[in-house]
This record gives sequence, C-alpha cells and structure tokens, in this order.
Amino acid sequence: MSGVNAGWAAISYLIAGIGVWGFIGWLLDEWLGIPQHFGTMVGMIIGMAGAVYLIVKRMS
Amino acid sequence: MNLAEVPFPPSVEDFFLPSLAAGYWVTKFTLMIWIAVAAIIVFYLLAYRNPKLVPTRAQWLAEAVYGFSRDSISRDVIGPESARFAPYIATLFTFVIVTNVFGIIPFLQVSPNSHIAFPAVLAILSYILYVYVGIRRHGFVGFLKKMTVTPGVPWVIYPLLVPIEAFTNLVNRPLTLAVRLFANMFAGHLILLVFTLGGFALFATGNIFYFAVGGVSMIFAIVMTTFEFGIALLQAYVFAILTAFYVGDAIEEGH
Amino acid sequence: MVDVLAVGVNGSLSSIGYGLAAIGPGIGLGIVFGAYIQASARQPESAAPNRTWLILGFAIIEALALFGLALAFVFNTNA
Repeated sequence: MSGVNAGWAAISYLIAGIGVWGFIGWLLDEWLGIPQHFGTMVGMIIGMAGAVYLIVKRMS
Repeated sequence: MNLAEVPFPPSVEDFFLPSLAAGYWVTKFTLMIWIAVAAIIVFYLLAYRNPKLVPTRAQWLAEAVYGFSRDSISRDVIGPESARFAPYIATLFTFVIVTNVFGIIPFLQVSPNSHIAFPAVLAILSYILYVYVGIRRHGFVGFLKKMTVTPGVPWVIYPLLVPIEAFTNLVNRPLTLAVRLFANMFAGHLILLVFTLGGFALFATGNIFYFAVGGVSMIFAIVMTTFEFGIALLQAYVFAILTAFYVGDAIEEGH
Repeated sequence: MVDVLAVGVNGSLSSIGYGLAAIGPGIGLGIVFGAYIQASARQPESAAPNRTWLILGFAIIEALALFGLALAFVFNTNA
C-alpha cells in the first residue's frame, strides 16, 4: 500500500470510527437525556480507540 | 459593466447558474456535459479512425492517455485481471479530466464537477461496479464478510470493529470519492472568483493603493489558474486510481 | 467612493473554535512526519519498522482534529 493510500485509508477509518460511535453516543444522549453531550464524547473516544486499533492492524 | 456593481464577495449562489431557456432544465452545466461527452467520443473515434504505425499527433495523444490509464492505473493497481476494467477506468479518467479542465477554459470557466450531483453520479457508478464484481466473485455473504470483518483479531472486539469497517468500506468510500472531487473543484472555482472579483472590486474603489493591491490580486488570479490546471489533472488521476483500488480490493482473494 | 469591501461578520462561533482546535494537531502532524523523514534519511533501513509508529502517531493526532470537527457540529447551537 503506497503512502498516499495509507494516509487516506487511515483518515477514512478515523472518520468512520469517530462518526459511527459518536453517533451512537449521541443517540444515547437524546434517548436517556444525558447532559452536556457526555455520551457523544465517550462514544467518540471508544470509536477512536477502535479506529486506531484497526489502522495499526491493517497497516503493519 | 459598471465596476462598482461587481458582485463581491462571491457566494455559493454563484454556482447556481440560471436556466438557458426559461422554464427548461437545460443549464450551462448540462450543455458542458454534452460537450464533454461529444468531444471525447469524437476525439477517440477520429484519432483511431485509421491508425498508423507512425502515429499522428491526435493518435499519439489518444494512445498516451489510454496507455497511461491502462498501464499505470489499471494494471498496477488491479493486477492480472485488469483488462476487463481498463476501458471503464480509461473512460472515467478522460471524462473527469475534460470536465475538470472546463473550469479554466475561457467562456466555460466553471467545472460541472463543482456541483455535487455530477461527482456523485460518477462515484455511484464506481460503487455499483465494485459491489457488483465483489458479489459476483465472493457471493453476497462472502462479500459482506470481506467488507466488514477484519481477519486476525480476537472475536471479543468484533462488536466494536464491525460497524467501523462497514461504515468505512460501504459508506465512506463512495462518499469521499464524490466529496473529494467536488470540494477540490468548488474551492478552486471559488478561489478564482475571489481573486478576479476582488481585483475588480478593488479597482472600483478609485483609491491608488487599493488599485495596486487589485493588480496583485489579478496577477494572483492568473497564477491560480495555472495551479488549477494541475489540480484538475491530479484529481482525475486520484479518482481513477481510487476506483481501480476499490475494484481490485473487491475481487482480491482472501487477505 | 463606494466602500464595497465592508462586509458584515456573522456565523457560528464553533467554526472559529474548530479552527483554533486544528492548530495543535497541525503542528503535531508536522513534527511527526518531519521526524519520520529525518529518521529514515539518516538511517534508511529503519524506515520500514518505523512506519507502524508513524501511522499510529498520525492516527492519534488526526483523531484529535476530528474530535474538534465533530464537537463543532455537536455544540453548534447557532445553527
């Protein structure tokens, strides 16, 4: 995988991870009435962890 | 034209051109797409009408473009099965180049790709192509499994990873393909508008210092136009090579 | 003389916040890639094993910038 491709793939995974899990967290926020978008932020951190794990797994 | 009435600053409204004949859907963009399609068909037909061993200039150009997209894009990325996909990749490459370069041709001056609809259609075509060949090769379940399941990770974290993989491979890919081309063309046209309209607006003030800055702005507009030409070719290359990469990924055996 | 250049400033404050939040990751990415290029220029055989760490650092830093982008939309009350 060339450098440019690797960079785009990494950004793609990060957007997907943060977006999907952040959205799930946001839905939980709306459903349970969590204040200050706390669920969104926790979801984004979980998604980031998953995305970074996937990127390292795929690229190495 | 009265210089004081130059519409500055430019806005998104500048991209919605009026209909050419009132009440009909034909706009400048529609016309440019027709011109692009006709020009590509006529060019390739004429260039290859009677091919010679020592090529004419048109034949040389056609062979160079097709050869580049067949060898450097399709064959290097897709691999041994590239022959089936080379015509599609070459057509896509040529079409995106021509429509992008419309952005800097005088009197046309705007690329159809600066409307999200045109890149979106191209991206949907590529999406259908790679999903179709993937399903043909691996079967529906096999293709979904290939697209969503990462091999070699403990099964405990699948619930975390499968949504990410599915979103990346099935939603993000066509989205980024379309948005990248659209954003580059849109931003390029907007930059040219800012420099030229800004130059006119500065000339219109009548102040000598503003006048000098307006001259600099005009010179910069010319510099950015040549820069836009590079961007147009580069984005066409990126679009074609990413399509080839997705197709190659879909038909690849295992991991 | 018509002052055509006077343009009102309006819009959402969260876009300015995102701009500020993107400064740090921008600097960080510069440092990461600069260090990688320097390392592989000094010692070309270390380029391949270092690439994993390059990608890891790039991913984590880029995630911070994307956090800023996402939260700019989430906290955008002026939409």
